[in-house]
Amino acid sequence: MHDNIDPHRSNKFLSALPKREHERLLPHLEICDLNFGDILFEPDDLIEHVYFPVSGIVSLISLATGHAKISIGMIGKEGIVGLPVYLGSSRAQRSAVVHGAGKALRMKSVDLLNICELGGVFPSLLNRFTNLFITSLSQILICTRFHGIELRLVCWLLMAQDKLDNDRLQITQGALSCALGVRREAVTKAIGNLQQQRLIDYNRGTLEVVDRSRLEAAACPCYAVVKAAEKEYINQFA
Amino acid sequence: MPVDSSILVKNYLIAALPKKEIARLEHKFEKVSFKLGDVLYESGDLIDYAYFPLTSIISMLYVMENGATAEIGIVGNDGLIGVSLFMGGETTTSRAIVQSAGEAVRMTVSDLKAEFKRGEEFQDLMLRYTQAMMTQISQTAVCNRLHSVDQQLCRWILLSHDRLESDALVMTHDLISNMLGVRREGVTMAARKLAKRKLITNNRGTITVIDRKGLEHAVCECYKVVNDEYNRLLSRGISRTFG
Repeated sequence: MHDNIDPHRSNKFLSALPKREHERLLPHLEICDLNFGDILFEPDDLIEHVYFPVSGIVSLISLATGHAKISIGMIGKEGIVGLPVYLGSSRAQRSAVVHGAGKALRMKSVDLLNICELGGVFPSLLNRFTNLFITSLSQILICTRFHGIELRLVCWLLMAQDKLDNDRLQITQGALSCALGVRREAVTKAIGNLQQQRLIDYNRGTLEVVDRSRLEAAACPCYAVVKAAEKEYINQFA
Repeated sequence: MPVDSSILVKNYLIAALPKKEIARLEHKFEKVSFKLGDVLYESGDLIDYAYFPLTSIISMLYVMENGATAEIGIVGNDGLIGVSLFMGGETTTSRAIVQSAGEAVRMTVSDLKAEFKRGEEFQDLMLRYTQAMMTQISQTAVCNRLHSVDQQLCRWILLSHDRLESDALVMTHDLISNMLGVRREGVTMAARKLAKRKLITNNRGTITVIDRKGLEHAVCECYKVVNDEYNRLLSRGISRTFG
């Protein structure tokens, strides 16, 4: 399905650029696959490329002592993976892991910085994305603090579905346990509960949203907050 | 009241600017004093000023629909309140509340935006600060999820201590509980444990650091992750030891 889409139109970020600025970027962009489980960078790596997802999902994963992991962000076609490069820090602090297969356009970090130097709309889009990212980061903080695993799973699924434009999501329970920062058994149990309520279906690594509107009704307010912020961010481009 | 540069440089972000930049900006700053518990703005408010603390500490609290709060970050003489402003936002999603009384300088939003747009050192510095702040928020999320209240309290005391001139944090357990997003009893228990280990004393709304090294030993790695990033990005450490 990805072969029919124009990658430059699919990433909201790139499609929001004026023609002249987009043309300036073109020679520096190359398309690449995002395969499930791919690690784009890990803590202490130099971030060599920034990625503009066209489809798929990249999670930013934080690692704590004792190998506990938790996702602090999820980026899809609305954004860019590698924001720290723009903010002056080209050494990664988090892992960027593909949690939904797809494609991305990527660019060398040094090219990103050079293009920012030229000014125009590009840096201001990066600022707006930063703002969106801070909002969703804060919301993730709140959600992990106050909400149980089932609510957080619902929230995660709704966000993932929005980014993928697809009812079906190929994801392992191990990846979900990493994204939500809980043990695998807790993920299994939460999936079981949602399945029993006929909100989702899970079979051999494929998670399908069966009843989107009821799933939305079951979500914590965090989903609506992030969704509204994302809408505002995308409307600014219109 | 206008301020001169000798006062401005108490804020490390401002101090990191070239001298001639500071001199140029001097008249755009205004000094203000805060009492414990003052609210600089509520979540969703339109914002008039960005604040650069000198001796005060400001806590950014995320407020949920049901009124529950949790701290997403603290800002003292290491930074500014108002990152979303130069990032194109008009409002902020958190409440900014004074966690430790003291002074700050402020700049109007239009001046802040104009300075940011000029590019150059000011913009670079603001971007790097934003990255450091994002590290603090994400590490707080990690800490909330994975570490005990004792460790979180340790982290919080150390981060505050770094931003204070004295060893005493004037702070009720109620306020700490709002910030850490845990019940007051949990804070009281944790503070008692730290006091028993002779790392702090804890009475009448004041926590006093008596064994800084001991606290650093007891804290989770989150404290160091945040500090290292501030040191790396802002080149001047704010930690009393790791700097």
